[in-house]
Formats: sequence, structure tokens, C-alpha cells
Amino acid sequence: MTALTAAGLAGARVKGQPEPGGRPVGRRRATRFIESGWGWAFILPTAIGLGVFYIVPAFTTIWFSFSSWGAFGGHEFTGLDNYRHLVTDPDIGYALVNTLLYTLMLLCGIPLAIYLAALINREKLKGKGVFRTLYFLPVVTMPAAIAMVWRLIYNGQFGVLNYALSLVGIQGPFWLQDPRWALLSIGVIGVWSSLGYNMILFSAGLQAIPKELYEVAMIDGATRGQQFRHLTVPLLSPTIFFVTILTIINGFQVFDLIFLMAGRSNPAIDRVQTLVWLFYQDGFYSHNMGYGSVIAVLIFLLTAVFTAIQFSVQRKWVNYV
Amino acid sequence: MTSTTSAAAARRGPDRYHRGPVRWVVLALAVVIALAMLSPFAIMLLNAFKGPADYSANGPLSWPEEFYTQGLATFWSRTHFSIKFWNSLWTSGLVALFAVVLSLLSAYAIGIGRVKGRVWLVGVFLIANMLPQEVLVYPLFTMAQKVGLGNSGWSIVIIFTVIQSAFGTYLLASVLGEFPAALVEAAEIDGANRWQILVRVVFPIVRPTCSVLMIFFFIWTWNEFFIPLVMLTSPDTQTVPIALASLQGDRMLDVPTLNAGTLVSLLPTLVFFLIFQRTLTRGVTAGAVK
Repeated sequence: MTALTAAGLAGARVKGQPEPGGRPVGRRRATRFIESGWGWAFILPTAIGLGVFYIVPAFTTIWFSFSSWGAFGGHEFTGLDNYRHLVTDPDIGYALVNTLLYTLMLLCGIPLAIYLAALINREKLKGKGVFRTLYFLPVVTMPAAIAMVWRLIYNGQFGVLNYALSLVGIQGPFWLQDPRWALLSIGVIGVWSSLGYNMILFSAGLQAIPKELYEVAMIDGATRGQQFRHLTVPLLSPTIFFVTILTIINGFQVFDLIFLMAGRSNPAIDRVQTLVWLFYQDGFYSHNMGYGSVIAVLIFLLTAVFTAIQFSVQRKWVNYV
Repeated sequence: MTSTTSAAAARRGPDRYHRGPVRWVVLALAVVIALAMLSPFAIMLLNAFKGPADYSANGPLSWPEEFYTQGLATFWSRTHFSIKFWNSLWTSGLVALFAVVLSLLSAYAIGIGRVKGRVWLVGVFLIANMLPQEVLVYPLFTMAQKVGLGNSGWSIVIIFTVIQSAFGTYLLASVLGEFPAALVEAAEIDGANRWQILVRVVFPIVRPTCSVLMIFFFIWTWNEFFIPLVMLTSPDTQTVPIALASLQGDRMLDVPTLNAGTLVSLLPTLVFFLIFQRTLTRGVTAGAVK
């Protein structure tokens, strides 16, 4: 056994290119795992879980989307009825626009996160760790609590925001009930709670940029703005790409905040209902799982299409060093 | 190389960006943003221990006149908080433990074992991470009803163990792909089998990553709202976020009670985060970029 391994090693050294230090586990190491099929034994528990509780349900949802559900559970195959309904449902139109607007607002937070990351990465900034922790705090805070606090801030009568505005003589609106403000108000919370996470990712991306490049740029007389445009942004583009994809996926899935900030009876519900919110309403409030499933399929398709578009245009602007 | 770097560093010493007023502007800006980020927490804290009369008389921004704890007590008894707390604790704890173990096992096979078809496997795990949870909810709900796990914490444990381990496998596999081969080879020469290599060689080295994952899995499961809302239908099985949400629109509850409830619901994750924040804010980037 030992001799075999040693021989294998020697052979591989002769054949393979000598790699510089810290070389990752090579291909030849794998052969013994494959022969015994041992690797699969390690993967099996996760794979079974993923299959039973992830892949099967995903396909079941697609199947559900072609059926109609009665109030007492039984369901029958109705073909494309749900899809036909989907195209003519005005609520879907509202929800689609709201979801896209909300996602757009989240995307507007990305430059802010880059700016924060640059701020936190400055060598001479004192107490970096403290700032990083404080900025990250909203990320680990549960949405139910976030919503609770922000409802108190946005409350039209007793809210903190209107109280602060009244001190300077402005009469604030009912932020969550006013159709003009409701979605924007919730979008602000979305940005606030994702800022820290994106900042950490950008901060790591910035640290990977060699400092020497900035030295050279400075010697060449580039201003800080030029350095940022021509050096930082291109070198940070893989992280920007990653964060953009993540943000779009998260934006399309927004539910907690909408559900918790704007109840069913909210007068501005048309302007804040999102796709997942409609999905919940149809499936678990109106007990029409078939129609709900169509919405789920729509969310999935939207996510897939937007991610695919992202990946296909990335070659134009993302620089992998 | 080293000499040019230090020369450049020496030259940079007195440049105007790193001395003088700019430094203070940067610091001031960082403080202002930190305050803006923190203000919701501060408002919550300020009003959690303020009497209802005090609140209506002096508004949300005043300093409390007395340390009022009745709000917390009301919240605790109204939501039967001990039960919710225990439900959240055991489900989140088990998910964190199981998901890390599963992730480590499969990532070991993919990253170090390099099993056949691992590229496909990693692809499946990646897509699973991108799938919206909503797509899964109805089938999982009906499935749980059928096997008698509807309205049971165990359905939460199973579902989130799977969801988190899909992420964990993806992340750990990329970490283990960089694992130094020499260590594995040395252990093999010494006659260690695969299990021993995992437990005695690989695990001790990736333990920090595993603990970061575990803390994140705990916090994420604790905070989870959508699936527990759908699956857990009775008060004795519900978790903390559902209890907190159930208070929304309850006109009988005063603001201090709501604030106190929010604060106490957050406490476990905040404490967890503050203890481990150094490792966490670093670990979130492991394997995520590139």
C-alpha cells in the first residue's frame, strides 16, 4: 500500500509539471477515490437531502402549476389555465413592476457599499474593526425585528421620522400607507440591511488589489478620481459582478419586509405587493396552490433569465486578472 | 521587490492624503454613516425600557424617565416567549450542527477526493443556492403533512439542514480545493484511511471555516421567516420571528412592549455575532469571491 503510493507519487512527479509551492490536491490523488467509489459515500447524505427536499419539490411545483386546487385538497389537471390567468391578472403586473423597482433600489445601494468598503480599507482609519462590525450589524438582524423597528420609525402619527421632521416644521406623510412613498420606504430598509454584507465582499475585493499599482498610478500623476475609475473599478469588477447577481436574486425574492411592513389591508398594497407576496396570498390565503405555483415558476424563470443575461454580458465588463 | 515596496512606502509617508484634515474628514464620515446604520437599534433600545405614559408624553426620542421593565414582562407572557425561544434554539442549533457535518463530508469528497462528475455536482449545488425558496414551499408543505411532520420543528430542521448544506458544500468545496496536497499524501503514507484523514488532518485545519459556517447557519435559521411561517401553524411550535410578527397590528400593545420584544428576540443572534464578529466578517468572504 505504502509502496504503491510512493511509486504513484514518483511517477506523477516525473509526468506532471513541477508546480510551485502550496499546490492544491492534484488530479492523480483522485484516482484512488474514484476506484473505490468512496467519495460518493461521503456525498450521499447531502445528495439525497438535496434530491428529496430540493430537486423533487422544484419539479413538483412545476407540475402543480398545471393544476387547480380545491379548498379541500384535491387537485385536477387544468393544463395552461393558470398560465392564461397569469397573463391577464392585473395584480401580477403591479407585483412585477414593484419587484423590479425594489430590486433597482437595492442595486442603487451597491455604489454606496463600494464607497463604504473603500472608506473602511483606508490604512490610517482608526477603529476599522469597530466600524466593520457596526456596518455589518443589520445583516445578522432578523427581518421580523427589522420590520418591527422600522414600522415605529415610519409610523405616520407617532413615528420617529415624522417626529424628527416636525421639529423642523415639516409634516411627514404616512410613509407606509401613502402610495407615493410606501415602496421607497421599504426599499430604504432593504438597502440598509444589505449594505454591510456587500461592503464586506467589496472590502475583500479591494484588499486583493496590489498596493503597488496605486503607487505607480500616483507617480504617473493620476488623481484619486482617476485612480478609482481606471484602477479600482476594473480590478473590482469580478466582485461587482458577484454582488450584482446576488442582489438581483435577493431582490426578486423579497417577501418578509413586504409582508411585515404592509398588511393586506394597507391602502397602498397595489404599490408594494411583490411577486412572492402574491404567491403567499394566492397559495396560503386563498388556498389556490395551482395559481401560486405559476407565480413561483415565474419568479424562478425571472431569476434564471436575469442571471443568464448577467453571465452573458459579463465578458464585456468584468476583468478577471 | 521588497526593497521597491518599502521605498515606495517611505516616499508615500508625507503625502497629503494620509496626513492632515483629510484623515479627520474620513473618520467623521465613517462615524456619521455608522450612526445612521445604528440609529434604528438605538431607537429600539431607547424605547424598550420607557413607560407608555412617558412615551406618549415625551415622544420616541427622549431619554426614559425611569427604567421600565413591564413592557418586557408583558411581551414575554403574551407570546409565551419561553416556548418560542426554546423552539428557535433547538431547531437552529441542530440545523447548524447537521448542516456543517453534511457540508464537510461532501466537500471533502469533492474538494479533496475529487470524485468523478464533481464539476456537475458543484453546479447542482450552485443552482440549488440560487433557487428561490418559494419554489419549494408547497411541495414541502404537502410532503410534511403526509409524513406527519406538518407543524413540527423537525420539518424545519430537515429543510434548513438541506438548504444550508447546499451552501456549505459549495463554500467548503472551494476552500478544500486549495488544501495542501502534501498533508494528505503524508497521512496516506502513514497508512491513514480516508475517514482518519478527514478527522485528523483535514478537519483540524478547516475548523475555523467550519465554525464560521456553523454560526452563520445558526443565525440564518434563527432569523428565517417564510418557511417557518408556512410550516408551523400552532403557537406551541412557532419560532421567535413568527411570534414577533404575530404582534404586528395588535392595537392593545404599547410601543415599549413591542420594542422590548424586538430587543429580546434579537439578543441571541446579536450576542453571537458580537462574540464572533472578527471571524465572521472575515469568513463571509471565504470562497465567495471568484
